[in-house]
Amino acid sequence: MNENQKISRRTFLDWLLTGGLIAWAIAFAAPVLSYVWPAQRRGPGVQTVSAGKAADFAEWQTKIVAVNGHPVIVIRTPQGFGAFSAICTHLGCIVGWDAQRRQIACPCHAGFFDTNGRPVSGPPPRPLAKQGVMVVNGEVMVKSA
Amino acid sequence: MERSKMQRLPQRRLDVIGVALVLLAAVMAAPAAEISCLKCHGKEQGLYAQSGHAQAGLTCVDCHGGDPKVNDETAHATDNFKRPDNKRGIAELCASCHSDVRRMNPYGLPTDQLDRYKTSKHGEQLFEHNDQNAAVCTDCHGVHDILSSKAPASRTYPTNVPQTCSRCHSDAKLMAQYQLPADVVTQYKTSYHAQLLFEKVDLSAPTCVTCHGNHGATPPGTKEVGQVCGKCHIRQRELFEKSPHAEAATAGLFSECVSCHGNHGIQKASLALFDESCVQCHANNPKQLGVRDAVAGLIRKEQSAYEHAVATVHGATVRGLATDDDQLLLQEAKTQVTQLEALQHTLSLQQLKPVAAHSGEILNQALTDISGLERFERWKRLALGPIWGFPIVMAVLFWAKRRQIEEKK
Repeated sequence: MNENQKISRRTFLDWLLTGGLIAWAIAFAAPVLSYVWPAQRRGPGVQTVSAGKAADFAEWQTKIVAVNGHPVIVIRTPQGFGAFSAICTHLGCIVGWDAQRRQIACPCHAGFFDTNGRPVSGPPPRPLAKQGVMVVNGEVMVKSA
Repeated sequence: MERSKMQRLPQRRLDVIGVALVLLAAVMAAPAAEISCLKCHGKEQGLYAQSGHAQAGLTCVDCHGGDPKVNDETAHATDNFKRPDNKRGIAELCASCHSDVRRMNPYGLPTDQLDRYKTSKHGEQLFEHNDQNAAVCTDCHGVHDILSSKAPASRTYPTNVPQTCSRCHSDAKLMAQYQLPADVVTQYKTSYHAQLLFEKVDLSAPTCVTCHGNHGATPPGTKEVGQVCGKCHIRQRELFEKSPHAEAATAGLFSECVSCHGNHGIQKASLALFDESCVQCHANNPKQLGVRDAVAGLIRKEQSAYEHAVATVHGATVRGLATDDDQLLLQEAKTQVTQLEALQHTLSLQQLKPVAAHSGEILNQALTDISGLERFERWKRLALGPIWGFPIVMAVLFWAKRRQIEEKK
């Protein structure tokens, strides 16, 4: 009876050691495999990025920020903040701000957009895509489309 | 109570009959104009019913006059009856409303069409030479079935304009009378402009009227070509003005944009144009061909550097590396490379070189970032050996230790 108890204790210890090793191996393998496996997702689909303090934006001032790897132009007008994709709808150049005309300007082919992103002149066929923008605790937050 | 109801009933019936008679009389009286004209002109009514004029509530009498109450041919026997028997009369009939600001204001329509038409080649032929072949309002807009140019079925809707112009301008016999080519619309259909219009259904793409005008249709002269193209290609026009070609164009030596790009059959500009077009004028001038080679070479180099960077960043993205910042750099480089394509109109290496250099810097930065990410990825792969080796070594050690303990026992 006593001998049997010793054998079963040893067996129990063997199982524990083997089981532990297997669990340890799995615990090691899983993150390593997921670490090596190519990423399937880009993280959250909607990203919100700060464009800076609202107080630092003067009226008619603009800033280009990167949201989800795409340039977004943020404009402050007397009506408030607006944000648009900074990629020109003509040939995909990054647009800028023409302070004199108070219009969004594409440097490549002189396409102009108004402060609502609508094409005013030149070759752009479509408006600039509108992005979400809000002021949270004094910070201008831009949301991806 | 019951009796008074019975007394009111006949009165109500009379009221209903009275109202019905009044309505019937109104219905019969209102369309009298149509009904009288339709007796003989039913075919026209079918076309007219869907037209913009019908939608605006106009009737036959509004254009043609006549007496709508008379049901036979004597309806035409009025002083105000109009049925133009020549094209000049048609233009004047249309203009009797379309040049009237008070009439057109509610529809937001311009009123200068006749004035513009008179300045056009069509108008000159008609008003100065009484040429009845010249296109007049109805030749382009239709007669009874005229639709707003915003309606997709309209003859003047952008995608239908080439077909409308081709009704005359593809008629070889008619065009031969004016020494005009009859293949312009066929050529246009092979052009990049037509590809944008018909395949991408880009309604802002140029049709015949965008370059030649509509009511004031006149072919642009050699000196005006740049202005016509420059209406859309503003930046290129601006840069061309700074080039040595501008002077030659002003002197009438060549036809600005058309000399290199062609006109009706214009294709999407590519670097191949340098090989095809420059030799037409500069075949025997090695110095000028040298400038061409330097400009084309610079653009070609930056374009291929950009394409290489795009492929590298794309490959890294597919392998799961975080390339958001590099995508942004590519977008910036694309802006520079696209600017180069416009800037070459100056033929000035001084203007091209800084943009090319900036593009090169951006692309180098992207490639450096990617090679850093790739180096880190390689290091991670190498680190796999020790990561996998460690548990195996530990397992062997455990096993040996166990044996040792067992042997001791």
